[in-house]
Amino acid sequence: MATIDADAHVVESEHTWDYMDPSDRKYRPVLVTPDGAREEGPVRSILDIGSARSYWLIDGKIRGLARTVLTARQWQELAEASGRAMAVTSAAQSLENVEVRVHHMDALGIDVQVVYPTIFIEQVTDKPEIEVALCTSYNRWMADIWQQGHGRIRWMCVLPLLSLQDALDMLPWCKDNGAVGVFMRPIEGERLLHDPYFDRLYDAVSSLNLCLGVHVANANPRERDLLGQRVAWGGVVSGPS
Amino acid sequence: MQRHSRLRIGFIEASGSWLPWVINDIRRRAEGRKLPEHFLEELQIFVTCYTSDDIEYITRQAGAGVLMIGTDYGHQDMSVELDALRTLGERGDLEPVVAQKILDENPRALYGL
Repeated sequence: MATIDADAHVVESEHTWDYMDPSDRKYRPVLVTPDGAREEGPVRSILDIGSARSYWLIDGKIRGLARTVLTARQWQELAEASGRAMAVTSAAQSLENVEVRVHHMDALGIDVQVVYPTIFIEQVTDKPEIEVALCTSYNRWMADIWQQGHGRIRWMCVLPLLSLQDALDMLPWCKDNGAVGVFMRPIEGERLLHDPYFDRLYDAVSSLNLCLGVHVANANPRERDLLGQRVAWGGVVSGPS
Repeated sequence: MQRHSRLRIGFIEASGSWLPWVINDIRRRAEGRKLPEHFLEELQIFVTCYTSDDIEYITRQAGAGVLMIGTDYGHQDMSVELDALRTLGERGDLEPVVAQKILDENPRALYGL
């Protein structure tokens, strides 16, 4: 029996955007870190990891899910506070070093990981041409990682769903380069997933023997801000990280 | 789903504990129409679970061909459990065939591996 991790992630790095076409480089996301955010305070709960967050500046706006990279000590503190195994190295987390990631999978008893994105858990832009550029670069980057993973790392592609024809054009290449499915968010902008707008996508996904991975996420910024408020009951915190 | 009968869908990182409620609700809304016992399996719907879910109960309600498990590797939120697969494989309260489906057969079917 193999063991398949049905939900793993990569945390994107600046290298993710090195795969952009020259004409798209004007859309390249920039990582920004607030002044003072790198102070390393103790991590006693999920609330404390804000100190390790950087943000993606895309087309002049903070977009996408924040990038969180902890130090070894912060990982250890968070794991102790949660009572669960959590610590990974930044090289494995960002897949900067595929070999390190695969060795960690070996230690965890995992044969194959299916990798979902991080930044795309929130909408990265509301402009189709920028979404095409970002998805293209991400998918090329993950295809490169897939080739280094010797079948151990499979991935979910991201598609520019604001421009369905571009999404359909991108899909076969992703399939040919190791993608096993399409990452989708329960709310895609102003649309829900049963919207007939997506019918042609679903036909294409089925025809290519791919799947949909509807991951906890939200691509509607207004809804995300409303639902992302943190609530605490007696020290137990709810809300997205 | 009727429009896309070959489509396989995974619902990822939201536990599996909502499944019995949804299954019960769908049966109530079916208004007398006979649904297959494990209709989610026929619809090729898959759901990731947590080790803290009542997996035996969910499997009885949904069928053995629905649940998968993930680690949320690389993130820092309440879903992360890096040793989830090992924990599930080593616990003694699940039938081996159910554990094998969660760890291998179901994700292999969803992702076409």
